[in-house]
Amino acid sequence: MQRSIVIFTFLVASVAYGQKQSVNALNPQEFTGRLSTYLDIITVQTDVQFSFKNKLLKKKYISIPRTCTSLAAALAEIKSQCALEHNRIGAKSITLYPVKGKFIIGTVLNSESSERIVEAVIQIAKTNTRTLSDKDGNFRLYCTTDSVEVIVYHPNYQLIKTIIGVTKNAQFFIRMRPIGFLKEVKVLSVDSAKISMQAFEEVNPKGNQIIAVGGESDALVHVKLIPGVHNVSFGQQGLTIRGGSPDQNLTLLDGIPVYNTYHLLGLFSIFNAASINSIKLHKDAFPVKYSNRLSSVIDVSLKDGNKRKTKWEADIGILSSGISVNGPIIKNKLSYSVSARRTYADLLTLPLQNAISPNSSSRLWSYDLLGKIHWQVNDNNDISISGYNGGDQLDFRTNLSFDKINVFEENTKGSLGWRNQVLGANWTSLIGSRVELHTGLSFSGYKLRFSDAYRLSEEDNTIFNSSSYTNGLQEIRGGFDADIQLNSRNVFTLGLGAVEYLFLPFERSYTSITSATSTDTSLVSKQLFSRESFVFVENKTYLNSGNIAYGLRISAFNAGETNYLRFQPKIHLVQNLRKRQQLRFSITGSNQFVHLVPNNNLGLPIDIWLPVTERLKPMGVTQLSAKYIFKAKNWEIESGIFSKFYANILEHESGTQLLSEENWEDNLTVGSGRSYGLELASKVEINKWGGYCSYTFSRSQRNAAGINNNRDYFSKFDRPNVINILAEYRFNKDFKVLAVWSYASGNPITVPVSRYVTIIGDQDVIVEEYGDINNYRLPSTHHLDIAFMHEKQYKKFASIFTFGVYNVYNRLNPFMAFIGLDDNAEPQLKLRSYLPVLPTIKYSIKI
Amino acid sequence: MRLIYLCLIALAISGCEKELQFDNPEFQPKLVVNGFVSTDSIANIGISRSTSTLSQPSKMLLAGKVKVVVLKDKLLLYSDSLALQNSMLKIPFKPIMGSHYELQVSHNDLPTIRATDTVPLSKPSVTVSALTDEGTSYRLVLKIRDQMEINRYAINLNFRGKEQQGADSISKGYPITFTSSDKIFLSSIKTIATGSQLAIFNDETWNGTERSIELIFDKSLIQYPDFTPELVVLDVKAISKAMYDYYIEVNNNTHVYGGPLASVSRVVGNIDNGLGAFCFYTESVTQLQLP
Repeated sequence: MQRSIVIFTFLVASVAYGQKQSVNALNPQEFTGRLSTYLDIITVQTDVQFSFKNKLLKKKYISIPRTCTSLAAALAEIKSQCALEHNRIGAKSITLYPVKGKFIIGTVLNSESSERIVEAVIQIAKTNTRTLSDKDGNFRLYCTTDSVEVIVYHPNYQLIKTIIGVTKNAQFFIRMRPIGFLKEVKVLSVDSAKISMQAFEEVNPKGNQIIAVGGESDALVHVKLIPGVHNVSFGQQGLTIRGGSPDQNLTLLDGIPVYNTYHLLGLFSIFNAASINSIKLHKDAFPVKYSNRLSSVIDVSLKDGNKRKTKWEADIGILSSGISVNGPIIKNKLSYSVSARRTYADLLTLPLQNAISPNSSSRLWSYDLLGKIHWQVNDNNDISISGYNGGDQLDFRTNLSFDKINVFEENTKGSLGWRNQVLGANWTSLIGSRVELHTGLSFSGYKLRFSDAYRLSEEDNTIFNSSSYTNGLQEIRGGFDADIQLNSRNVFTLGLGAVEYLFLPFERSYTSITSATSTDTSLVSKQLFSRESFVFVENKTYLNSGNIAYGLRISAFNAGETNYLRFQPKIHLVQNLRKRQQLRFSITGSNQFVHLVPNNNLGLPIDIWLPVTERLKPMGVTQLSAKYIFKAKNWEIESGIFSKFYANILEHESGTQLLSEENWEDNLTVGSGRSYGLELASKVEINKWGGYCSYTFSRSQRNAAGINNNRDYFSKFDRPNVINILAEYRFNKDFKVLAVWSYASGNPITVPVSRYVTIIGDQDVIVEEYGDINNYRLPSTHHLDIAFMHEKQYKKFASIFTFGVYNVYNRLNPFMAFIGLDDNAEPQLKLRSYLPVLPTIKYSIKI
Repeated sequence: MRLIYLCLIALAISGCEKELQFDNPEFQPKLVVNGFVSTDSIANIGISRSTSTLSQPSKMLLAGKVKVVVLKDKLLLYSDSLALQNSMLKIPFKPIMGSHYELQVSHNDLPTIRATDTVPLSKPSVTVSALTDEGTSYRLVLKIRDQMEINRYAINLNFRGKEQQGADSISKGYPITFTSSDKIFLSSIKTIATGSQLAIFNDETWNGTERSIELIFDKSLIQYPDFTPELVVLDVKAISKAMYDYYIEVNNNTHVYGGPLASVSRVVGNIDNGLGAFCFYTESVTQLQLP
């Protein structure tokens, strides 16, 4: 009986199973096409009806392999490829609905040092879903499956593929190995150009190879090769970006503004490349968080420091030597990074000066101290403290002594020094898998001090007089912002902050001490306080074929009894085209509340930072730009146009020396301006060759009441044609050669239209009469620089020896013009030039 | 190694020069007025013209007659054609303190110029406290009593003496380069700590009060061949605002264009359609025996 029951049960089960199998079986066939079509095929073959919302299947495609022969397998493919979950209602009906996905949040790290990698591309395999790691190395991806295979790409690291299990609120760390540590690298089994297409990566030169004048390790040197960017000129500090003045660039060091970014009259920047993790130049639609500059944002981030072992880097060059150390304080938890650099021309030339003129000497030197401490509190929180202290100093002295009736000694001493001090803390916190919160507090100060002293000493009598002039500003900035992943397509950013400014425009003090009297006076000391507060929102929507970012910053600025409220909108549209092409459009509005008082000299750091006033309203700009990018496997091109409309641009009205003027406002006039241009860039890498070239055609015009009879004129930053060509050839893994040729049209200067003689006291003095400003254009600037680099990896350390030549063909590039006499003693306009052909030598060692 | 380094540095900072092409289509010659008129003498005004940037300027580039009109307090004082003598124009009027004058000059095809200025209200009140021998230098202490209105001053020092020319002995004078580190100069940033023959300052910090000023000049600076210094001549001028501004503008007129040292220092002066200055001063001259 029992046996009969078992056999019966088996037969029933077999029949039932057979019936079920026959109902759910699918014909083995491949299919690629619309999901709706495939659902129809399933219905025909299995008699199962699907129900779903109409728009659910819109633009959904599926690819089914021949091995998929059951309804269950088909439903699994649908879930995987189309992110649609199902629910069976009875035997013949299935309801489809969207899969509820999860956000995974991860961090991309350097496997050797555990430092964060910025702008790595993270792509879900076999899909077009990609994202970029942010400046903290963090990324977010929306996943609808329980595990996901990702490809992580960065040009300086070995490409990796890895599978991540998707768990709610879990954070993943992806470690990439630097290419420099690999003997033989074949990274591009995947098309990197295709991967980086949506990475918002523009066509930029490699940033870690180019050497500045004298072999200096300058992290900003490669930025000058980007189209639309050029030096003001030798001896004049700062960068001109799209025809704007240097003060229209906001340079950030770990989010903290730095007000003076160059050393030695603009020869090289304050950013020692050994300490820099990344540099990002925004000149189109920069983040609304930073919309308080008109031309650009240069976002520099320092290295966090190696969290596993201590690393040393030292270099010695013609102009300076530096050392950089970073390593763990608590392994994998707390790290530091410190670098120091000093120029030493003053020390080495001192003996020469003493030999030539023992009674007088002058010294010009500069230094940098960069430091950062990074604390990885836990997986979701990290805190960093960044600091910078640097400056330049020009000292001169004379010393005369006589022994006539009495012993008599006269000393004069003078100095001109400027200092930057920056200190700030940043806290990044991941809240769940959707929110990244940034909180920052910082201090930044810039100070110029000019002083002179005179001492006359006799046996029983001493006279001492000194005077000093101090100018500077300080700002304390605090704020927070949050990136919120609203859904799979939208990232929303909001934030607010406040800045307190303290300006010291004209502070003068005098001391006079004699044997009979002693006085110490501050004659003019005026401080200006200003406050800026701002709130901003920005949303970035990722579409199937691009993205759109739009945002608004509202800034309120208080200057004394004057308050300004400005709205700064931004729209940035990215449209991917077929075959690795991309189009970008942007329109932005920015305002600037703090500016360099435009002195007639072009950028010695004696320039004065001041806020807007009641009469001098905030400068503003509206910028329109468009860009086309094409990326192939070994080459890429970029072409862009821009147009900028300026309002309330400041110009210098008369020739009064601003340093001595209390009524500095009266010497300035307000005008409007326009800049426009075409920018082209191309990069190619073929076998051992690498190349980058950029070309910019741009014009920068101004119009100001009372200047040049109210006619339009070209600004002093107008350089119509700028060309940069970089070529690299690698002979073998140790030895390569780099050549950079840079060309820029000459910029307009103001040359007098006549001369005459006047009488001052009893003396005849030649005076020059000026007509229109910027009435003469200097000759173009161009130079070819070549560097041979030998890199050697030893067992315990690596070394790089660089030997190069700056200005190979000895072009006399303009520094200044003046009226001198020719061979016939006739007056001639003459050009003075510095930096002829010069060797470049640098030796670096990394341990 | 150090020698190589020094050579490199020297190479880097050694400037090279070359000539530039420069057409000057903007150039239009203008009358240049050097009219610094004292209340103690009749107006003696230099008239010249400007030259193109690449020509050699001079204060004696005009000859012939010019038409001159002078108004005092908006009333016609003088109108005539006068001949230039060595580019100088002698106009027969003596300025009166506190009065307002207007000058109009025209010459051939050059644009007619017009200039106005007001004579300072008073003469500077100056007393000399001491002129002492300090071994290698002299120290001169003077006091200026400032009036309540805003005043601007200029100081000149000269020394006079006998110069032997063969058998003859003639009286001759030279300007003295002097120094001072007095705050009176520093307050107007016209420091003369590095030596000057002219100091310009205002009463910004001591308006309406008496002020003591110390000047120092080196003995070696008044030693000329065959010359015996006898007197120091202290010349303190109360200058008009136009004159003060003009002096400062000229002082700032650098001769560099482009580059970080350039400064478009426009010398405005007070001459409409022309260049230079037409302005007034009162002066107090004190002669002191060298100790």
